[in-house]
Amino acid sequence: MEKKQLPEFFLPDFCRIQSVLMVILIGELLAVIFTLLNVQPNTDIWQLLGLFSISLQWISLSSVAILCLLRPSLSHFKDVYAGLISLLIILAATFIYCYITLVSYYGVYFDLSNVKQLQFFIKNMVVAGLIGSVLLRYFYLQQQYRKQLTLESAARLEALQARIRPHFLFNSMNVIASLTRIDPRKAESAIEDLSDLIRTTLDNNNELIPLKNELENGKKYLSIEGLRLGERLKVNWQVDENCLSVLVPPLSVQPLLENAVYHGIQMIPDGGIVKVLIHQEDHFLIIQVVNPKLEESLHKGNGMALDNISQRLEVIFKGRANLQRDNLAKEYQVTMKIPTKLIELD
Amino acid sequence: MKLLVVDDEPLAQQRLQQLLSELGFVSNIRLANNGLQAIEACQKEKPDVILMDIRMPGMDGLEAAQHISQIKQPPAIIFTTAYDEYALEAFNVNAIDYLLKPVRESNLKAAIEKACCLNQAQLSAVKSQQQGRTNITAKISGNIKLVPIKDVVYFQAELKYVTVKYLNGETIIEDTLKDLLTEFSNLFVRVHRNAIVSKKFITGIHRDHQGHSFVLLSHEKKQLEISRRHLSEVKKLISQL
Repeated sequence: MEKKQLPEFFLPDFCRIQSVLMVILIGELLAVIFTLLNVQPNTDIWQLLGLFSISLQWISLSSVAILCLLRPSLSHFKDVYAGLISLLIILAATFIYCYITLVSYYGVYFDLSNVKQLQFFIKNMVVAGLIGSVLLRYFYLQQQYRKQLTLESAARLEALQARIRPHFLFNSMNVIASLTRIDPRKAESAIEDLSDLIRTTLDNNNELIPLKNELENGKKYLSIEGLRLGERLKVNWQVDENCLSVLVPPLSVQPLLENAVYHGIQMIPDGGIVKVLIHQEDHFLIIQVVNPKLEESLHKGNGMALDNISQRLEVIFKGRANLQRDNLAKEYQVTMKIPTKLIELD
Repeated sequence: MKLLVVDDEPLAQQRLQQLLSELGFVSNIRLANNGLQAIEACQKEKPDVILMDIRMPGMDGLEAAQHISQIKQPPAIIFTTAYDEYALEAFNVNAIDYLLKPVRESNLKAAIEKACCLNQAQLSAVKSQQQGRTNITAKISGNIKLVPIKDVVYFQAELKYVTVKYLNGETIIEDTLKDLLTEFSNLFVRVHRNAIVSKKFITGIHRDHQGHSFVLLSHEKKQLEISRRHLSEVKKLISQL
């Protein structure tokens, strides 16, 4: 749970090497700016840059080190308090640095009643405080933006969640009503299959599932349609066993089968064969569903369900998966390509 | 009372059969699997009431009903459907009887008791929301003959009738050219005030010595004249082929 909570927190994880590099870079940029602002005709520009660099890097790296250690405990606070504490840490680091400089570099005793020393402290603390607050504010806004993006894509995914076609639901109910008298056992298993399918559809969980489970959903669906269409529906499975553990979005294959039945088999008086071909190719899972179609298909509404899957793939895989439709002379072919290796999404 | 049950799904047929036999119509139930079979059965068996599914392969229920209602003394038609938003809306507007699947015995009984024939106005109001027909109906002495729209080469208006020329013959129908062109605008093009031609049979244009243009058709020797008004449209179509 701890790990899951952390990304919600607005401070980036400063223990990561990327964050440290980023901080060094920002520190150096500031050092260059300070140098250019302070350079005078008779000063050595490189010495000045060195001086600013060492001060800024010292303060920023030590603040980062402390923030890295304290981040887990800071994340329990409200954002405002966590921000204030972080700012205090930066100020403390600045203060310590100033103190060390004073004592070891200039070789004087620490004495705040000395106006020059007081000015030195106040000047540095104010600069550090201002830059620190700007940076913290930046981290905060960036995290808000990321949070909004995640929320938006979650909402989109939810809206796109596959729904059960009313046609399918009521036709299945009719089949079951008919079977209860003729063959109660078949009616029973049809009810079980239908319940499982409805449960999967109602489940708004978008976590990826093994292909094996998704194919089971598909088989349950086809077994119900098989009862309804009888001899007209035949299915030819050609599944590479090695693919069964690949993770796929729930309800990604089943709608393809539903489409093949709804727009293909069901429209043909003598029915036909739905072919399901699944194999792996260069880190991609290739799922192909082919169905026969009427030569002069009047129905052009094939797009809806497929558009929906396309968009879901886009949200989940960010352009690394795709769905291709081929309207061939006598067949309709849908090819879905899903990456088998998940990369860490930032 | 003779009944005809039309549905492409065996279990759906069986269910209606069971309900009907419980209502006492044991011996007079006929079955058909799609619209075309329904029309055939209508002509042969002359049922009194038809229970017909809407979504069926081959020919759907709505189109079959349209053809059947042109038979002399047509049977009453009750549609059955699992779910058809658009059709149901149209049914309600036009007071057409329908039953929702799974059908309840009491509803089925009530529907059969008050079953009455559909009229053309009701049906065309419903059908206009769907795509064009797959067949056109020619009436021959009270019976109907279906001509698949994909076989039609051209329609030509002569005096009071419209002649349909199709791959295996020709016949006279009662539709008007204007209605036919509206219904099948994606398949046909008007070449003359009195003729519309199937786009897929057009092969070219022939111009004679007097400057008249004629449309050349595959599977058809007769050349139909293209009036000057429609020439540019036909030329444009040919350039797209």
